[in-house]
Amino acid sequence: MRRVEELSASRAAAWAAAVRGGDVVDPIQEGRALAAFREARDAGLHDRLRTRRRDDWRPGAPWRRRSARAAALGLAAALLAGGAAVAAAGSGGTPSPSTALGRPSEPRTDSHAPGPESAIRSLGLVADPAPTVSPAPTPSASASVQETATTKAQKKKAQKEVRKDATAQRAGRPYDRHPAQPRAQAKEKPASKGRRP
Amino acid sequence: MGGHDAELGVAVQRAQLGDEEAFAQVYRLVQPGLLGYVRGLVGDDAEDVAADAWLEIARDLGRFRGDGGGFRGWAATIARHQALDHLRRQQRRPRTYATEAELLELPDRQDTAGAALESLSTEQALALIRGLPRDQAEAVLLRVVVGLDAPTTARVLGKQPGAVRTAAYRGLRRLAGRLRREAGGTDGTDGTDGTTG
Repeated sequence: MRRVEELSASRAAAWAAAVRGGDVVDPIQEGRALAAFREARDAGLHDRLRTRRRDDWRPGAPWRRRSARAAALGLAAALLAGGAAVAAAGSGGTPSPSTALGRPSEPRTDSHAPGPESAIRSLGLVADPAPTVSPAPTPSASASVQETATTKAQKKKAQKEVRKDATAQRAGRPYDRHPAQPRAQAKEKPASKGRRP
Repeated sequence: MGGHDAELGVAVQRAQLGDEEAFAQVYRLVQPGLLGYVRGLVGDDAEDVAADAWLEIARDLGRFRGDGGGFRGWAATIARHQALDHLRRQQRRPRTYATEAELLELPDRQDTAGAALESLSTEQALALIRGLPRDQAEAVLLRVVVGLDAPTTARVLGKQPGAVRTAAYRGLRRLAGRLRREAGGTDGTDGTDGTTG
C-alpha cells in the first residue's frame, strides 16, 4: 500500500511538473513583467494605490473572519433547528439525536475511509496539511451542545405547560386552547418538577 | 511548497519596497504554476493571458497584503479573472487541441512508470485533466500546480473549503486513474490501485 502511494505521489508530481512546463520561465515575458514593475514603482503606484478587500490575504483578514462568522451562524441555525425539532416532536417521544440535528439518519460506516485531505496528502502533494480553521464542531462537542439545548427546551416547555394548566383550570376551561395536547402528557411532564398540586 | 512560500513572502515584501531583483525572484517562483493554471483554463493563449495578469500584478503590487501563500492566491485570482475575461471575449469554452487519444500516444517506452511520465509533454499532461468537470480541474490545478492550500483555493474560486476539498479529491482520483493507465500498466502487477472509494 505504501509503495502504491509513493508511486502515486511521484506520478502526480511528474504530471504537475509537466503542466508547469518544467519550471522554466520565458526571459522575454519576465522582462516585460519587470518593465511593468519599474514603471509602476517609478510612478509611485506602489505607495499610492490603496489595499482593497480583495487584496488582503492576511490570516485574520475579513474573508477569514467572514467564514468564521458563517460557521457560527451555521452552528446557531443547527441549534435552532434542533430546538424546533424537539418542540415539534414534543408529544411524539424523544427525538433521536440525528433527527434533532436535522441530519439524515443513514448509518455511516466509512469512518476509516480516506477523506479528501488524506487523499491529497497520500499523494504527497501538500507539504503542510493545512492547519487552518475546522468550521464543523466535533461530533461529541456537537452532541453535548445539542443535549443541553434539548434539556433546556424541555424544561421551558414543561414550565409553560404548568402555567397554562393553572390558567386554564382557574378559567374553568381546561385545555380548550390546546386541543392537540393530550391531558395525560400535560400532567406527565410537570410531575417531575414537583410543582403541580 | 512551504519553504518556497517563506522565500516568496520575503521576496514580495522586498519587491513592495521597490527592489527589482526581488520582483524578478517573485516572478520566477510564481510564474510556472500560474502559467500552468492558465493553460488549463484557456489553452493556447495562456502565455498572453498570464502576461496580462503580470501587468496587473506589477501595477497593484503595493495593494497586496499577506504572506507567500496569500500572494500565490492573490496572483491566481488576478490570472483567473484575466482568463475568464479572455474566454468571454473569445466567446468560447476552454479549447481543446486534439482528441485525447491522439495526445496520449506516448513514446513507445515500457521501461518504468517513472520514465513514461517523465516523457509527458505539457500538452499531454493538460489533456489528462481536460476531460474533468471544470470545478474539479480548477481545484486540482490550484492545489497541485499552483500549490495553494484548501482555504486559499476556496477563496480564489469563491467556494467553501469543503466543496473545494471534495472537488480536488474527486479530480485527483480521476487523474490518478488516468496516470495509472498512462504508465502502461507496468506497475499494475502489484494488485492494488491504492484507491478505496
